[in-house]
Amino acid sequence: MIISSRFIREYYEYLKKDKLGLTGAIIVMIFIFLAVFAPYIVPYPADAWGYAYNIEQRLQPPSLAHPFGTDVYGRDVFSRVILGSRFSLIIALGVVSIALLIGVVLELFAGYLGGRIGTFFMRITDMFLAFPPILLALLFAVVIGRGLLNLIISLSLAWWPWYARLTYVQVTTVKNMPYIDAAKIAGINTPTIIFKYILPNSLTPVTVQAFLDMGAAILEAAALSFIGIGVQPPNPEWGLMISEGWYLIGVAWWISIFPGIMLFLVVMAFNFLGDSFREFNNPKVRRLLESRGI
Amino acid sequence: METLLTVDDLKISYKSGNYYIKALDGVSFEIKEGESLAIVGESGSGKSTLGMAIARLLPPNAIIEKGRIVMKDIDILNSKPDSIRGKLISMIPQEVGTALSPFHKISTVFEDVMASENKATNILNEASKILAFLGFKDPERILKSYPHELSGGMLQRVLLALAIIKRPYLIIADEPTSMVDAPLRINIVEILNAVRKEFNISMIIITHDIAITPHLCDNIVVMYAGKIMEYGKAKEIIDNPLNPYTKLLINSIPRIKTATRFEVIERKNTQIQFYKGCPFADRCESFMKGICDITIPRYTSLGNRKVLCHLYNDKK
Repeated sequence: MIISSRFIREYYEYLKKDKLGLTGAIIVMIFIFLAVFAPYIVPYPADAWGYAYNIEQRLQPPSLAHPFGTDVYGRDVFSRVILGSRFSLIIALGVVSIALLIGVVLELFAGYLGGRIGTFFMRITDMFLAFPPILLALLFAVVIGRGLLNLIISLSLAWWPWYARLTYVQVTTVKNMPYIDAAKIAGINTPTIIFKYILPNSLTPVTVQAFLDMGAAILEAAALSFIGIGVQPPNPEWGLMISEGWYLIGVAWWISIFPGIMLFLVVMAFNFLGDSFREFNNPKVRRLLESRGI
Repeated sequence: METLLTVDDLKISYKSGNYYIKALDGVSFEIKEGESLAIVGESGSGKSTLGMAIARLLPPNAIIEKGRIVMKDIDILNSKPDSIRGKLISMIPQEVGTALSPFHKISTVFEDVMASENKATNILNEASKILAFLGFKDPERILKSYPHELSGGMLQRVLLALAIIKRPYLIIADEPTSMVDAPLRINIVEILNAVRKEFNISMIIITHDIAITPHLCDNIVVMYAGKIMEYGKAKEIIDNPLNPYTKLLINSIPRIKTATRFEVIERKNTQIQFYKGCPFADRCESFMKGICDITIPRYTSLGNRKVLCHLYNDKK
C-alpha cells in the first residue's frame, strides 16, 4: 500500500532537500494543529464561535488586546481567524475524500470491466467534466441547501469526475500489466486482483492530484461561502469573514485582510506540498534518490 | 503414459479493425503426462498465441474460430478461467521484471495464490520449501523482500515457485531463457528439468531459441505462420531436420568456433493470410514452382515425426 512507514521515511528524507515543499509542510502542520486545538488556544472562544456581541468594542484597529482588531459586532478577528482553520480543514478533507471515494470506486469497476459499461460510465463522467466545478457546485448548493455539510456534498459532487478520469486511465493501463496476467494465471481470484493488485497500483496519480486539490477545495469553499451559499453566519469561515468585511474595507481593512492572508498562506502551502509530493512520485526523481542512497 | 493435453485443429484469428489476422491455422498436437514440449518459431508464428490460448489469457480481440483444447477430460476453452488457472495449468511470464506487483512482498503474493486452498497447511513453510528446492539459500529473506530488491534470475525462480506451488499438471514457460545471460541459461534449464522430475509436471516451453530445446524437451513443435511445420523428438529434429524451415532455424544457431555464413531470405509477403500454397514458399530454398506456390501441403508421417512439406508429400 502507498502509505507505509518506508514510504513516509523516504518522503521525509526527500522533504529535507526540497525547501519549498518543507515550507509547505510546516505551514500545513501548523494549520492542522490550529484546526484541532483552536477552541482551547484562542483568547476569546465565545467570539470565535460567534456567540458574543460586544457592540461597544466594534471596529477596533489591531492592538495588543485584539491583534487582528475587531469586526462589526465587536468580535475578536484573531480568534475567529484561528477557529476558521477548523472549518477549512474539515472542508478540504471532506471534499477530497468523498470525491476520491466516488471517483475511484466507480472507475475502478468501469476500467476493469471495460467495454460498453466502461464507456457508459466514462460518458457520464465526461458530462460532469464539461462544466467548471465551481459552477456545478453552485448549482448543487442551491438545490440541496446551505450549511457546512451541504457545502461539502455539493463540492464533492462537482469534484469526483477529475479523480474518475485519472483512475480510469490508470486502471486500464494497470489491468494489462504483466503482473496482473501473472497473478491471474497463478490462480489468484478476481476480487483479490481488483482490490489488492489493481487498486494500489492505480492510486499514485490520484493521490498526488488529491494532495494538490486540498488548497483548491478550501479556495472554492471560501468562494461559495463568500457569495452566501456555503457556511452560514455566525460561523467563522474565512470566505464568509471576507464577505462580512469587504464593504467596510475602507474603514476597517483588518476584518477582510487577515482571513484573506490565512487563506492565501494555507492554499499556497498545500500547493507547495502537493507539488513536492508530485515530484517525489515522479519515477525519475525516485531513481535519483535511490542512487543517492536514500 | 497417459495423454494429458490434446489440442485439436485449433484456429484463432485476431480482429483488428475490419481485418482478421490469422494467428493459428489448424494446430493439433498432444502432450503426455510428464512430457516436455518445445514450441519453436519466429516472432509472429503464433507460438505465444498458442500458449495464451491454453492458459486462457487471450486478449479480447482474439476469436477462436474452431478447435478444442482438452485436458484431463476438461474442455479448457469452455470452462471458467478461475477453475483452470493455477490448479491445472500455470504459466511463467516472459518479462520477469514486471511480472510481480511492485507494491507487494513476495510472501503476500504466495498467500494470495494459496488463499483458496486448504488453510491447514502452512503456506509460507511450503513456499520456502519450494524456494529452497529451486536453489535459494535463504528463502525466508526472499519471502520478505519486494520484487525490486531481487535480480532478474531470482525473480524468474520466484515466479517458477509461484507457478508450481499449487501442483498443476502443466506449466507453460514463455521464453524462459530470453531475458538472462548465457551462463544463467544453463542454470534455468537445469532447474526446469529438476522441477519436472521432482513434481512430475508437464511443460510447454515457448521459445525461439532452438539451441536449448534438446537439453530441456522431449519433443519439438516447429511453427511457421500459424501452422505446425514439423513435429517430432527433439534430438531427431536437431540432428536431421526434414522441413526446409526447420533446416533454416537450425542453421541459424550461432556457433563460436565455426562461423558459418548462411543466407536468410526475407519474407516478401508479410501478410500471411494471403498465401495460396505453402506459407513458407517465398523463403524456401527448395521451392518448387508450380507446386509450393499453388497447393497447400499435407502432413506426412515418417515414424514418430510429422512434417508439413511438399518434398515429402510425393515420397509416399
